[in-house]
Amino acid sequence: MQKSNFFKIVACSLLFLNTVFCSVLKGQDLGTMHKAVDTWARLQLSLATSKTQKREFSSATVVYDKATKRYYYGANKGIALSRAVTHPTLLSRYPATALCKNVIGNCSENHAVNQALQDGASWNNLQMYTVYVLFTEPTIAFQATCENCVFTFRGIEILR
Amino acid sequence: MKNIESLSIRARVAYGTLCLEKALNNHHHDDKNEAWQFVLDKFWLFTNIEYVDEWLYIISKIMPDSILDDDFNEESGITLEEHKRLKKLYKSTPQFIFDIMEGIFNCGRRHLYSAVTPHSPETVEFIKSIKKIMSSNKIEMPKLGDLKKYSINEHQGWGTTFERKDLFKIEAK
Repeated sequence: MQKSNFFKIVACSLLFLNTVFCSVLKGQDLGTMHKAVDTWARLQLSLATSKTQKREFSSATVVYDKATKRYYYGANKGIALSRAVTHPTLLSRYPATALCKNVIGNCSENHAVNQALQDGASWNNLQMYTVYVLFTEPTIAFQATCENCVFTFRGIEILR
Repeated sequence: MKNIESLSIRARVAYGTLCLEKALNNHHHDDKNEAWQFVLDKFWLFTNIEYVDEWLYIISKIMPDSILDDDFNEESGITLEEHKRLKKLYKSTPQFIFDIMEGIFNCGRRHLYSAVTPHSPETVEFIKSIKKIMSSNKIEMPKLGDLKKYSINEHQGWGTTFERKDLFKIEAK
């Protein structure tokens, strides 16, 4: 067998194995994701040091990395409030102008995905679920993704 | 509540704010009072603010429990004088006024960072709760009037921007 053919076969095999591996990565079910973000959101509310902070907490997202089995959490305006750097991959996915009436990058989805990317996660391995938070009730219920996020997070599995 | 269902989210918040104004007038809290006007102006911002999520951070800081329970914070966007004035104001305000404010706050924040659900039954519920408070305090609901122009079918449910003065053009002259 020629040397170049050997390498082609090895490369194709690796590509095949990678495809199989990625396709069998198992995500979390809706109930598990809801429980995870519900617990996290309630913890954040209990840790808030002021009524203003509680009122400003409006939505929460959990992101699950199917490859590493790690969870990441985010809150609205989380990137700005934590003075975090937005990952270049996330920045490159943003629409050029806002597609809805929310500031681009302020949704809780951005905060959670940004942390996953900073941790080395691959975009296509991520799974995401977002809830609405109302501290006075307290209501924590599923929230549909805004237009900015629908555009930004193409390729990520969004649970609903 | 059929009419409310056709209103944009911006118009629903405006309607709630008109209820608040009426409640303040009815209970001798003159809505021209400088401190109340400061509060009302912040609520009215929702009708013309470009990015609606920014309203959340403005209103959260001036809600009654934020002012009464939190210490003054220089980064809150209001001055120490304004904080003191609001504290004094809220200390003499009946609970039902706070409940109306809560209804408006919830109506405005319900779909932030989200897509507005068709006809938004969630925010209709908040308007219903305001109506109930108005009714139990024997305050007549304001008329929808020109608010009917602002449809939930425009701008992804948020509706066209407008200002309070657009609703009372004749009155303003």
